[in-house]
Amino acid sequence: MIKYIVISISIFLLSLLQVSFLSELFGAKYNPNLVLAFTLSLILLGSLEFGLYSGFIGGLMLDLMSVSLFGFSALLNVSFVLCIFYIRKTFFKGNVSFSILAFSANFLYLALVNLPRSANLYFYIFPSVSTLLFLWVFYAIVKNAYRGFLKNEYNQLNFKNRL
Amino acid sequence: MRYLIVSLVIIFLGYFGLLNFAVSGFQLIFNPLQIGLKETAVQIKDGFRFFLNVKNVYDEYLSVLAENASLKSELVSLRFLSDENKLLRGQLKLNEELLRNKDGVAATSFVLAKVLGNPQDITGSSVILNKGTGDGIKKGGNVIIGNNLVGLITDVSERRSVVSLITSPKISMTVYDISVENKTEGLVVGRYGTSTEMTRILPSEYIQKGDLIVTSGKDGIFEPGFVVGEVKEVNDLASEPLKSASLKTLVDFSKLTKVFVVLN
Repeated sequence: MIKYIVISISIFLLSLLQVSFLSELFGAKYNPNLVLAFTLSLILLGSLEFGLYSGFIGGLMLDLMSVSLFGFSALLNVSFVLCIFYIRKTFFKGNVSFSILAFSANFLYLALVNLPRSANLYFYIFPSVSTLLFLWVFYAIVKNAYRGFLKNEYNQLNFKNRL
Repeated sequence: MRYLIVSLVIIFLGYFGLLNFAVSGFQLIFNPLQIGLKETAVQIKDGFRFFLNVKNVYDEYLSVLAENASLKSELVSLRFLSDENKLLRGQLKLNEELLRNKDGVAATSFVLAKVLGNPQDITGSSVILNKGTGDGIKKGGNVIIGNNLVGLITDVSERRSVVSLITSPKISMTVYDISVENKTEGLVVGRYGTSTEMTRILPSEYIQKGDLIVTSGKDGIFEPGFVVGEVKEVNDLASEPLKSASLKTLVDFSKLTKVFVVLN
């Protein structure tokens, strides 16, 4: 239970930072999707359950803090987590392929969220790259800081152990 | 799988407005936090800009000093005009009562709203305000800052509203050139960023760089008399039957923190 609370607090702070602080500092054209980066870093560590939970809660937070169809970001995040987890598990296991998947997920997320605005696809490249950078930063942090915290899940679900 | 199902249920309930009370409650609590973080980011960004442009700031400071000296002399003549204006108003019996309707309510009223930005809009053509239907804002309301037009309310919930900026390609309005005598008319459409384009200008009409363009109100969407922008460039191609002009907005929309929404 405590693990879920810690992830909820982390994701709340990250979504607040993403929506209110970084979007202003970097502008929408470079703003990283911290929620997706954090969620995918959990997937990279092998925890599907925490990845799904983080994606779901983070999506709801993003929808609440901005004006969009409530639950839409949550649905997208959860779908991306499931797809990436199973693609990684079945076909591609390397870090490079995971980076490509993460980039594509964020690109697709932006394209779907901005669908009514019919923006140029070029706009989605930079936020997706910055999201990818943050993904690896979060991975390094989560791997070290949360390793003890997620120890059981890490050992049980880590790909190295599993495969 | 359960997360997928729950997400779909939430979307379904949200679509029919059954979760509005929870969304409004959350936004009411966290609005100040979002505004505070946004303002902190603006201050940090401005701080960086200041240190990167110290030379320019010094040059601007010198030009402002020179401008201040000339404005002081203009102020004296404006005081004379102000006194004269008061006298004329008294003679014409013009007072604020004329600006009120028969019920004594102000003919035009405004609501002040804070800008939250719109992190999900990658085109930067819309912003979110921290006020909604609970404050009297309705869809279609004009959004202004000073006498400059900012945009139009296109979506509204109880505690939030979305403003499509005039730079959005989805927004168009009828305008005229206030700087020339024959009031050249045209249609302004958004071009993203800080630029808009005035189109459908008759070849015989006169328009030049630096002219001020204001809304005419003929579209029935925007109130007349709001400043849309300044002519940056006139495009008069022989191959085109009508002229067009690139406009630059007088307001930097990326730096907006507070705006007024026209209520009626």
